[in-house]
Amino acid sequence: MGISIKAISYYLPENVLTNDDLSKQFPEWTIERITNKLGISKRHICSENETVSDMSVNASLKLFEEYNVSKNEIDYIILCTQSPDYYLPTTACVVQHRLGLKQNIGAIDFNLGCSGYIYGLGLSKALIQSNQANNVLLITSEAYSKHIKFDDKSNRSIFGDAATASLISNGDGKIEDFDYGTDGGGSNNLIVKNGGLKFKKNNTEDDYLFMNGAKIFSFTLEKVPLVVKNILDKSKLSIEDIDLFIFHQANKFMLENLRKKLKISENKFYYFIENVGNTVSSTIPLALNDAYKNNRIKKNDKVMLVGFGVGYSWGGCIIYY
Amino acid sequence: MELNDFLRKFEYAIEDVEPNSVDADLDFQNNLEQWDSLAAMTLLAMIDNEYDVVLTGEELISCKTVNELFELIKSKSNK
Repeated sequence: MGISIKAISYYLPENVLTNDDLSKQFPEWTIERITNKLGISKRHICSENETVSDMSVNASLKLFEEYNVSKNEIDYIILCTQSPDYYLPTTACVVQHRLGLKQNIGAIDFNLGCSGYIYGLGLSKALIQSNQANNVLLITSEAYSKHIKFDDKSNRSIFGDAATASLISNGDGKIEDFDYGTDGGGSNNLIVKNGGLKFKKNNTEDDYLFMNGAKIFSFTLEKVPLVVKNILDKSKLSIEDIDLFIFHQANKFMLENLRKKLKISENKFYYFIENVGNTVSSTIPLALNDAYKNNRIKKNDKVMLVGFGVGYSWGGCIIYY
Repeated sequence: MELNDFLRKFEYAIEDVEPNSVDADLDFQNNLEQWDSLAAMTLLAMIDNEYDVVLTGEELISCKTVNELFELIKSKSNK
């Protein structure tokens, strides 16, 4: 017995933004370039009135229904987002009420992006291992579309909105060999600068999401191989011992470069980006769920997860099935 | 490593650039039509793959011409 991911469900907004839509708005943007380099054909985007709490509730209800999970079993909610409904209250508290969960449970938000799922697994495991909770509802819910300027073709091509809900409890599998990393020195390279309490929104570019793609890419090339090495050292395993690698689905080009750099064979490297885009903290659980449903994960398999991005923040672990 | 070879790899890494159109003095960040963040990403990847050098975004942006980039890679490469 160990602590494991019992089930994952997800929610994608109904609104879809296709490459065709983008090429109509940006005629100078070569559509083949987006498809080939980013590996993305479409993204789901929240409607104007749809928020992170709405997506969280929808993903969670789906989890309860699909896996016959009783609402009364949940005794802790951990919700990862960078687009909360409010400064306060906590989104997880709003979600507890809307889902009709018990009141004698814990509920917290944490603010991370593309590394969020790994940190959420780490926190969930710690709560269960220390007997503070038995069944953690781990939610990732992100709506970067709300931060992106309408005429920002690069970021609109990359990011999609989504939410996932995972049930973490005692079970057959294990989640082990965590490795974490942080470098706040990179904070200006992926940032929504205005609109917090340091800088008010002032109708400039700084009101919107800014990403320095080149800097983020070189950060990734430098740090991801290190995380992979650290996790392998901790687990005393080699690249060949891992049955499947699921990395944060940043974009296909970046992933393909990381795969080659790490000498991971194509059949052990999972992609799930074409129809959803980069969904920030939801990419790993979406890919994990898809891999599981497509029988790419069997009993006793070892799956390495690695997340990396805004902060900078990065981390990884191995799931033993 | 050799400059002409680097120029051809540079052209290939950034799509839609005519072969043999890039010379060493090109101010690629200001005078190359195809230059954008995606181009920067593919260029960094090419440099990592071909020369085993991971440049930081700052290092790449600090280079004014293709030749400066070439010299920077050379100083960091063992090849």
